[in-house]
Amino acid sequence: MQLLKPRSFRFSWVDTFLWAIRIGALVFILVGVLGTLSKAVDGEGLTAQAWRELIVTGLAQGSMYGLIALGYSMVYGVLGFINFAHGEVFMAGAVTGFFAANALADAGVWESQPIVGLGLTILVSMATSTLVAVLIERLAYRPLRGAPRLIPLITSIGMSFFLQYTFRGLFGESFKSYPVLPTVMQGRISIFGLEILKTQMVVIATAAVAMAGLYTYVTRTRMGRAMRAIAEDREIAALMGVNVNRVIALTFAVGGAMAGVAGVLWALLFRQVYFLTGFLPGIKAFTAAVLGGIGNMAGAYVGGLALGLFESVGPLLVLDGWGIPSVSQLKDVVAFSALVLILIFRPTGLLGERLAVEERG
Amino acid sequence: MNRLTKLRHLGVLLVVFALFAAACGDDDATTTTAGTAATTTTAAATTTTAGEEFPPAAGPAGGVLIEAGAPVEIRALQAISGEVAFLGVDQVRGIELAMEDFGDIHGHTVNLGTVEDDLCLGEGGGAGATVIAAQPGVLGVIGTTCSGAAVPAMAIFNEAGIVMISGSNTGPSLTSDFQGNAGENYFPFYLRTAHNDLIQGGAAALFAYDVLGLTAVCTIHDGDPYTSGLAGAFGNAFEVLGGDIVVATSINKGDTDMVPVLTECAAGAPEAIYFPIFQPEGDFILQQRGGVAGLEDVIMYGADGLITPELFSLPEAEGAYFSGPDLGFEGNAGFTGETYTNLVARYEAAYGEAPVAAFHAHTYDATMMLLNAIESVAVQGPDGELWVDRQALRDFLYATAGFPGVTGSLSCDEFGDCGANTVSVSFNEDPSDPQAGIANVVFRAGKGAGGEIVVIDS
Amino acid sequence: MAITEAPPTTSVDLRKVLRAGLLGALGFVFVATIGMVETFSTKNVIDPILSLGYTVLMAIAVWTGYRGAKAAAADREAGAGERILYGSAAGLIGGLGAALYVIWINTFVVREVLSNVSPRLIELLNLGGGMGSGITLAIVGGVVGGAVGALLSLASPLMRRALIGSFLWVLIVGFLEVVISQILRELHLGFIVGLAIPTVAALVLTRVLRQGPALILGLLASVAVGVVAAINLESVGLSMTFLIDFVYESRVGGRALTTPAAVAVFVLAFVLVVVTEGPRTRARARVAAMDPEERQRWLFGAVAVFLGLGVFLPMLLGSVVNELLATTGIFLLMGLGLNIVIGYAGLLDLGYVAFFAVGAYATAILTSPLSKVSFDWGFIATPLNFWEAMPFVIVAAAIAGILVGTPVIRMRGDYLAIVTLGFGEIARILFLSDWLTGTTGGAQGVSRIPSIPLGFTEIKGTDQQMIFYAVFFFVLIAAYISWRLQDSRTGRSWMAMREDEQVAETMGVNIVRAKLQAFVIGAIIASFSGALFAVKFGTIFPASFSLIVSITVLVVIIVGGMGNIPGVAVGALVMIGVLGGRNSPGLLREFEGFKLLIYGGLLILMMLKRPEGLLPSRRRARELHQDEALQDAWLRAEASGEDDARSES
Repeated sequence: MQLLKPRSFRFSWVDTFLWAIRIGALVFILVGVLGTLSKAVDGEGLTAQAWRELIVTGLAQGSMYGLIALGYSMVYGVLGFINFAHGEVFMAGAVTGFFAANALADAGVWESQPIVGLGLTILVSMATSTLVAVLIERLAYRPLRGAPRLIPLITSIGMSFFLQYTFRGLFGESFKSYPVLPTVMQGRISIFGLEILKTQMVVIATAAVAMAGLYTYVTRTRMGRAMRAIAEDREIAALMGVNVNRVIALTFAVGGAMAGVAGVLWALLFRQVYFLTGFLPGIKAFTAAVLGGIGNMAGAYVGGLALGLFESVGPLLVLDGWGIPSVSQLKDVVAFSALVLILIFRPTGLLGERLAVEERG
Repeated sequence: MNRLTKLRHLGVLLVVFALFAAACGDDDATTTTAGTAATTTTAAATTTTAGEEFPPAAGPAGGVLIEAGAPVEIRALQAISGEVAFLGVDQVRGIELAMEDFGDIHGHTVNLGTVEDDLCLGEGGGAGATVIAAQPGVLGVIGTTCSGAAVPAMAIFNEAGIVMISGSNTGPSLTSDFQGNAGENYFPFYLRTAHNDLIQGGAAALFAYDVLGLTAVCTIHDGDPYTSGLAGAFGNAFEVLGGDIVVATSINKGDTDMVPVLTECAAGAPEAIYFPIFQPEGDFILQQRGGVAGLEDVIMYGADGLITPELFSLPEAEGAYFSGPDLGFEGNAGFTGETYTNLVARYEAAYGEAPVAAFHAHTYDATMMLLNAIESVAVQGPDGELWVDRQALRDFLYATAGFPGVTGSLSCDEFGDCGANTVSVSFNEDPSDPQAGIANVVFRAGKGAGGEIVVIDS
Repeated sequence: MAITEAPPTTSVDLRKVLRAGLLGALGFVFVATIGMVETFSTKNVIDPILSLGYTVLMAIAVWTGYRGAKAAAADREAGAGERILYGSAAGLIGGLGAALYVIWINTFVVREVLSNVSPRLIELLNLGGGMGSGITLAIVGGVVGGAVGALLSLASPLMRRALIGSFLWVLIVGFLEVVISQILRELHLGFIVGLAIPTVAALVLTRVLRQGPALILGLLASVAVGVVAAINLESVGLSMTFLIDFVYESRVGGRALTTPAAVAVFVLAFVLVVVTEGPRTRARARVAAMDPEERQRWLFGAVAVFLGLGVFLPMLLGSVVNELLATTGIFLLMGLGLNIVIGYAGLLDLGYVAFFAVGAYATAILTSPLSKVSFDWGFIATPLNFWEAMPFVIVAAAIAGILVGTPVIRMRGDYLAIVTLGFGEIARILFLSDWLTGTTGGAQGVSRIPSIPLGFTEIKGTDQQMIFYAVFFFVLIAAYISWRLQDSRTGRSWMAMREDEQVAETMGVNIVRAKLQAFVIGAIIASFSGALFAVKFGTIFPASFSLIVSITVLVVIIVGGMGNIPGVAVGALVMIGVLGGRNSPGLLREFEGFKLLIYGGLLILMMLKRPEGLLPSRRRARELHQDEALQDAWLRAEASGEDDARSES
């Protein structure tokens, strides 16, 4: 007796709908791009220089999303839930980095020795973010280790509010402006014939270095192997002698450290931080993590870069060609639509997912 | 499920329906008309010294009887938390200073009560208005901070006959379009001493076109009703003058990366960018403008959401213009004769910091107007009571003409626009002295008789 | 070897005492540094002697002492003296920590970094004097509070609950001055009579008549009579204003409780808690012991009482509470819908606000005379009235449900979450966009949404009581739909799908249809909520439809108890009504400044201690506390002597 219908007959209307979306999206994007191109040909559109700037901005913004997304991705891979509070971990680093930067600026170090100044600020920021991440894991998530997925999610939402308003209570609600960039970091620099802002270069480069460092750590060291083991199958890893608690704390710490770096980079580009700085980037970063493939470190980074590019280039490339007004307002629409489309085309994200045994399927 | 339980469920539904239909008729006495609640007069009507009956018969909106020794109740509905808290708190201080200056009304003290928070949202305005309207004897409200909160609040206050005067709402839909048409959200019991954004948009456009000689401008708003309204008003006025809005676009609150929107602007080759938004998005636009090709020489033109010392001190804000309500109140004296200079000194002494924006002055005037109106309209009883008719109060306020305020001479038009409607443009010459920059007014304009913009020579 | 009770230890775990003290100090420092003490010091609890700020600090001290005393009494016999000793010790440690903090803020200017450590705070902590008095206050306060906490731990659970509860009641009566004053001021005879008639009738009829049409008709009639009586007797006011003046007195910045009133409330609450304890436990036991048939009758009675309260209470409670209840009801409605999507069907939808927005905008665009969309089909023309617009709203919501549901059908759990979150944001931005301003009004929103016509009368947005009735009506419909769905075929297929999708599919459940049904029904219920929201405020702006709303609704159903309708109601009442949602103030307006901090902390605490929610379905509570239940069972099995079998395995 056959309970299942053979595959060939199950081409349902859902599949039709999804194919319609795929085709419709491709047509939409094509027509949009053509429209933009025709505007460029007419001389109305953006210059090549402008497009280059948009791409670089997108990559810079995306690098930061990528760094923050690493934290989301790793925690999801290991524990299986969305840590909503990770955006606040990022914010914590950015805000405490401000105090460090300010102190350094008052001491003159910020201007005279920018590398030292930046390095110290990043260290302070990383330390804070790591501390916050480990604390929240220990206090709020560890007791909920075996609970159904929704419970730690709600806890993390609560933790997100709690952290936001604690920081507001501690440091006030006004914007914290990082000191003016050291002169050596102001202005532009020419790389491969491309003129980009020095800060953008610093951001992209630092993020790439951090990512490479993390990758090496996770693939080469013992602790990194332990992390991957737990991500694969927690019970077996425990049986093989891995100290699960310690490694999970380490995962949070590493994710926090990356977010801390992102915090200072963010401040380099945007200068203003306050207690709500982490909310939106947190959501975008999680989107990036899913986009690239959840649980997959390289995927998080690539997803971040991709999201940054979609946000910055997308509206002007596609929507403008359709003659839609105020395309910059629809930036987030482009970003989330890209997410939906990519997941429809490739259900496990750009680079595929890496999940623990019990999470799959 | 058997028939019996089905019947039971049906019965439950019928109960609900019946209750509902029956309960419909009884909405009269339970609506909160604080006025009517307080009009329960004492048994015998006594006569005033003039020989008339006291208290007099109430008008269509009811009236309030204030017993001897009881305070006159007014309230405040401002945004005291959230992103625009600086505006709301500033205005509450203006109210307090005005109450101090005006003093008692016919021997009754004036009580402000608890300041309600309008959250700068419709929900907050509605909830706050409900709380205020539930308290007995509230004669008038000073608020709201944000135009969006004013609409649901006025729906409640208008029904209760409670007058509301705002010192910071600027949305044109709350009053009129100056062409004789009532705004979409016009309510008879609403007035304001702040300017109408049609004036600010018009004045800003006049400055751009006539003085700066610009013909191509890009506008950017941030998706909230105030900024989009102001950007729209500017755009319309600019195009009527003969200019061209090459790109009209917008960002979202919370955006940090402004390069795409600036690039969008740049594609239209504008000579200036008018961005009447708030911080920190305004900061980001100023800071990132340098990174976008084609915008090197563009003039940056903001509005009063950005007129703060922090923004003016940014190096990138050098050379930027900012439109906003006129702050040149130095020569003015308020209703009680208090000069503005004195007022600022008292403000600083009491609150430890200089006033943040102009609206405290508008709110000061609004409070003065309200208190003066109450005093003028109140009928004194033989035993020290006061009777205030709500409709009379409202009509008196609407008839205001030439009222001396620290923001100028106030006269109310038929739709509740009472503000001096003077707009000025400041030029930020030197970021190292932000206060001087804010005070550096290079253009001043106001509303002419027919609603048009007239330049004021300073 | 059988496991017996652990032998009593003779030494106190000093570390726990130390930990209690340190936590207390940390709490003190936290509360002071974030500015809570300073802000709350302007609100007086009782007279000028006790401000809320000091109350919070005292509460921390008491709690520290309580924890210390509990630590001393853990696993051992501890007398009163010992408890007080260790409680005070813990308080002392906390006080020392607090004293160190006081020294620190007195000596160094930390205001540049910690901006809420203001001179006023220092003044408050120093009790007006210098640093010395601040130190003394901290230490003495710690010890005394600790002792009080220890005494509390000595008291029986009932006594403890009564004491703490009574104190909380004093606070609450103080905070709710506006509400209570309004209720007392507007109290009229009609409400009392109106409520009494159906209550008496219900008590009599349920005894006398058997279940059936006669009983229902009888109840209906009594309710109708009650309502008519209420209407007619409305003007007979019961002037309770004298009570208002006794209880509250005017103070700068608002009205606070008078001392005699505070004492009276405390004593009254205390007596009530103690006296009703016995009857309450007995009633609970009786309900638990009922057989299904009886329980159904009891449930029916409870529902009837609930309906009756829904009709009569708003007449009593005044506009402020009614407004809150209406807002709570709107969120409750959304909660019921989301409960179907997440609770029944297991689809984690984080973009629920999109459907709310669709309902609100559809209603607004179709009913507002200022709307830019218009059509005229002869028999029907814009602006429509609320009821005419309803079918369109439902269709729009259904389409939205299908549009959101279809792409995500094949997606797994958390992908679903983020994609639906994305859809929520897309919806908001599209409604806000300049592009669609011609239809949606863009950033200016849609205004002049008219009232709901109802035959000879109408439901105006400003009439909080009528709006509440409208919301209540829709809540009942949604609750009914929810309830019927639970046991229906669709509901069971959802349950199967939630547990294991592949197995369900194998067993013949049409997953596609089930998922889409969930989305569509959830969307329709949310659209009702949106429609009511639009009418209530008369004007809608896109800023009201943000991600925060989706999160708030999710929190409501989780905190209340997911999967069951009373749980959702309790969640809405607590999170929206009492605390206030993100965008709307709640009952306790005093805490506005720290609302979200408390919100977050409360969520964390609840998930750690009581993840099944405030009013959980028994099934869920079992699921979540499975480990503990299993462990209990294991221990019991051990104790009863099945060790031999255990030791083999």
